[in-house]
Amino acid sequence: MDELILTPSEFVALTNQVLETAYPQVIIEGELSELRVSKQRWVYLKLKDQEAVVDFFGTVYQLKHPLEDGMMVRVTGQPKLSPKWGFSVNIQQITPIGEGSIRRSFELLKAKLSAEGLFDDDKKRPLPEFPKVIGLISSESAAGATDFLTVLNQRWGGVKVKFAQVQVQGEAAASQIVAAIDYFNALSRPVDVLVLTRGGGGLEDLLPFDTEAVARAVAGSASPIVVGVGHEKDVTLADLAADVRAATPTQAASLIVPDRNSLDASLKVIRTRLSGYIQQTVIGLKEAYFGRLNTAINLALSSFEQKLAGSRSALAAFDPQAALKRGYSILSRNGRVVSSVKGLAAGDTIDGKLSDGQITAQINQIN
Amino acid sequence: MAKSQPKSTKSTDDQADIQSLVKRLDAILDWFESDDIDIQQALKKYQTGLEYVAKLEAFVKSAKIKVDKINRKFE
Repeated sequence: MDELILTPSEFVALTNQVLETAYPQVIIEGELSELRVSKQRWVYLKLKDQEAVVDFFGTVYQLKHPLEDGMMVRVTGQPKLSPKWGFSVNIQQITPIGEGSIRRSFELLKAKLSAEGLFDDDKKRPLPEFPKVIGLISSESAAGATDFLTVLNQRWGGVKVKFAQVQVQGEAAASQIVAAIDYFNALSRPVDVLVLTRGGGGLEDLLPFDTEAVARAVAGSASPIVVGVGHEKDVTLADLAADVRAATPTQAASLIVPDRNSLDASLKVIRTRLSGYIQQTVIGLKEAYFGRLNTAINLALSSFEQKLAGSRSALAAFDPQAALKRGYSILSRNGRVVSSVKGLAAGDTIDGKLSDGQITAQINQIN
Repeated sequence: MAKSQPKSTKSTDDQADIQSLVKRLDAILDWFESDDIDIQQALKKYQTGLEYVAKLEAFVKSAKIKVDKINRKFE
């Protein structure tokens, strides 16, 4: 057999051809080491185990989760032999694996976003009391969405729900959730409240809700947003960024709409109390003012009567007839009342009016 | 046919009449308390004064009846 003699370039090309054919994509899990970011764009890292080390190369756009040396990660990539840099795997996707690594990644991202103020309490918006239109982001096949809609209709039927179907786990979930929030943000008439929900799941199932992109999208929602991820104990970054966190999809529905039955009962009680209060107030007013008016008019009439009685008594005192009865008389001459001796002379005739009759007399002497 | 006065005008006239009677009665009493009393006028004023008192007493009686009617209406 003839020997195959290649130049380095030919070898590189041949090797890459073989790799593309046999292993267009590989998935490698290992311990992350020598993670380095150059010029805020290029990512260099190694994965190692006890016997080997593999180089990886990528861009920061593939780093969806915070990473640090020592974490166990899974890298999906394309193996390649570079003419200049030797063998490496071009990163297509990299995610932490194992509970420890996932939690560590979560803590790193949480610290970063918290420092930016994404989770601050003063950014939380209150939910509308009686929403008319709700935006729901979930998976049709997810139990969480069904639970949410069931409880919503039981508590307060008639609310309009605009549904955005997304994957709620897996690689595509994060970008779909972000796209759904962007869709609702772009509506000319925003929904009254947005709900992002899924049922319970394992730590890795909930990873999309711990991505930076989803956390930022939740924080930037145009409408108040409730996140109900169905994971009672652990809190995702989406939960922290939401205006309201619900422990379960069912609780999300309870937080968003009131219970019509208990509201009806409360309204009945209020109506009864108000009716009773108004009645009592009207009766009280009537009694108070009726009494006052009645007293006032009676006092006025009584006072007037007393004054009249006084006038009558005073007039009685001036009754000329009473004076005549007491022995006084009214003297007159030529029809005019005489009240003085001036103008009179002895021999003049005068008339006298007494209480029981009249006399005519002649003056004998004037003293 | 004589027109009947509108209620508001009639009650205003009645009110004016009562006030006028009271004023005139007070004037008569003031006259009797003055120093210069003409006996002939005294007789006339006395009679007039009594007439005024009678009219005012009739008004008070009528007012009491009206108050009773109003009370019964709103009870």
